[in-house]
Amino acid sequence: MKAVSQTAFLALADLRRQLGSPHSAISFVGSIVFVGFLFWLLASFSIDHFLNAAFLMVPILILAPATASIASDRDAGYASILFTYPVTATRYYAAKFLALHLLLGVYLLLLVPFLAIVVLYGGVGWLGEIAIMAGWATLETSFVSALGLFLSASFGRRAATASVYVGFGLALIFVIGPWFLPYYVMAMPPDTASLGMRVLHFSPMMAALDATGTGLLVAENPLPALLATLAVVVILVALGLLVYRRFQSAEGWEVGRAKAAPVVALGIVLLLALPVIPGVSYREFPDSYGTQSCVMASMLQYCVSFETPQQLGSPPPSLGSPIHAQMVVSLYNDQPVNVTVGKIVVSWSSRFIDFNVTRAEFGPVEVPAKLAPDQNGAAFFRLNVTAVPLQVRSLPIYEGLPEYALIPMELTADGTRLLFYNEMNVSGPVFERNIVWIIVGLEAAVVLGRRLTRRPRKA
Amino acid sequence: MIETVGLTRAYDGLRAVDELTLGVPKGSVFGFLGRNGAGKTTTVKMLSTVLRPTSGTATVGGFDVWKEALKVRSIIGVIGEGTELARPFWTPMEYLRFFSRLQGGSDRNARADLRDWLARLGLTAHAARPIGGFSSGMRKRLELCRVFSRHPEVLLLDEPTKELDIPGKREIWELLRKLATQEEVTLFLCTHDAAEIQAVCNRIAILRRGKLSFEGTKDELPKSVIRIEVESPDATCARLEEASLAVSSSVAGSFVYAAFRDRKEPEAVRSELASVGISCRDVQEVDAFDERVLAFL
Repeated sequence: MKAVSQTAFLALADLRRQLGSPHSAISFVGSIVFVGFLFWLLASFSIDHFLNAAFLMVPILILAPATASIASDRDAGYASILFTYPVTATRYYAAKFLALHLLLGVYLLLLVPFLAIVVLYGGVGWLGEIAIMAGWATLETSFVSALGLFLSASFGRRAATASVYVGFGLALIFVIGPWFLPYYVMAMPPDTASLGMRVLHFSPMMAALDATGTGLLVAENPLPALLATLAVVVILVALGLLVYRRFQSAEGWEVGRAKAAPVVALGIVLLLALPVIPGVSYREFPDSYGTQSCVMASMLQYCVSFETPQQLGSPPPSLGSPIHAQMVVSLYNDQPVNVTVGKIVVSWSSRFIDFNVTRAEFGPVEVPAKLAPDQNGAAFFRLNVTAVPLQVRSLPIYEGLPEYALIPMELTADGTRLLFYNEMNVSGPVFERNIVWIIVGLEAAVVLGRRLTRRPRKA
Repeated sequence: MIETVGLTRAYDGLRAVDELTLGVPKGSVFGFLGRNGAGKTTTVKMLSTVLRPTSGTATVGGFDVWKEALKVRSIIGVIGEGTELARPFWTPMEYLRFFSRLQGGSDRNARADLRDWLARLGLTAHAARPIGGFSSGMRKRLELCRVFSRHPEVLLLDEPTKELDIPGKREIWELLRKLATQEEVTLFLCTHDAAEIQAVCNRIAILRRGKLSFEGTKDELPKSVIRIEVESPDATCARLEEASLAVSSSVAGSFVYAAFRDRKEPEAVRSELASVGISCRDVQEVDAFDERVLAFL
């Protein structure tokens, strides 16, 4: 049997074993209920939050089966049988790696009904986001698989149960850590914070959050984080395979762990060297949304607003329908003297809205001095744009309550960058969110029913 | 077909198999005897490429067990100790088809052969049940199906009939004899069961504390094995070896089993022992195969 087909064959057999056991069926039903609950809870508030949880949090739990994978094969004696057949350690290891990705595939299949609802009610624009998130989920699975297999092989025999707990515990750390750590790290002194942020990119979840830009901290360039994560995966796979092939047999450690220590140390040094990959700089958007936002800078108050027909009394635009809107840039001066700004550049973009123009330049601009104690000097610029709402931020669950499309905007005044986070009201079909529980019930019935009604194939 | 030279395996400094040198000719049924912990299973694991030898070499079918492991794996069939059917939710057919495909066989061609083996080992009636519910005897039969259906050149069997009932054991012994004689399969049979050795094997090796204490045909076992009942069997055993009175001796309970190169009368042994200061309660010649083997265990 050729190496590739044997690896695929072993991986599929491993997946069948994972899916065929009652424990797996229960785990899958648990995952479905959890994802269903997340959807019910989050999708009406922020689809991004649901996607983050479904694609970035749940797949990390694959670390638990990954960490148990080789250890349980040793415990059950399966490895001792398998390695009396023409199977190499590399193919076995690769099959394990592949099987864990197939497990992710099955999980993603279970997500399909929820994602269909997102696209149906939230806009087809979400398809692109979903594809990107699936890519990140795959990279994340590679990361947890590489780490889990390395740990699993290190356990030796009679450690299958312990390995599951270790894997699950680590998974929880990886799930929770990236949500909170950046804020703690950013509060540290600048040098420490810079190093800390680089180290945090070891976690693919962090890298994904950078890349997708769904948080308030948005990476200017997410590529370093992606590279760091890829490098971690490659190093972990190479290290795990090297240790498994060189120092272990089907039964466990062939030599004392001490002899493998220099190799493991080299791997750790490589991992620690990764922060030399250029760090990620962040833009921190203000934590308040609205159709107008203002920022003070260089003696002037800059306000940017996005005016749609709704503000003029019309109903909110619906998904896919072009609307004519206005970008309004206002500069207010509360100083007793005129203030001149050489050049103002306004740029905006949104994955929620397709604009026909995304950048405008003005200047030089002279903002008149304060006219009276209660009357600041002001200058205004209006720009007409045509916009097509592609997707809404959350699923509309109440009739008459519009949903939002977010528009991050950046204004540069003589080189000073100012960030705004505006939003536009969009109307869409109302979603009855309790449908989620029907989907959860059907999926659970499919998984459990398949297990309970399993009829062995005919001999 | 199997050659080992100075084969050694140490665990944390303890030599489980110590400088083992033996040869197993093609088509022979080779019995490998030893007490618990003597190193039999470790030897099988090394020969089946599962464990790496600490030193020494071993070849199976002319291939080095560690350097050419893949070639060795393509010609062997192994039943190891304590393999617990790691896929309990599969049916016997699914289990056998998985390993058949792993061996590289075509699934379509293998089915008929696998059905045939299930029938020969009395598992057809259970073919649709998950194997996790099998009794230990049925599991052992399934494992035998697995290795026999590989059509190996060398069979390495560690206690293959351990959980089987008496008729089941006899069926398997018959099957093993057929495989060896009709298909020229070389059998390396690890067991505690002297009756099994007597029924199936034409050559035997006995392992004691990791070292080879006997190798030869059954007929080459010393004819004169004397069972000696003494006050302190361990001291008696040591004294026998010090004085080079016996070829080999071992302790079982309050008895010492001593093998002598030449035929000896029990009374002559009693007086020889008395001359070196050992008084015996009882001295008897034993004839049974398992007791003759005992002197080397």
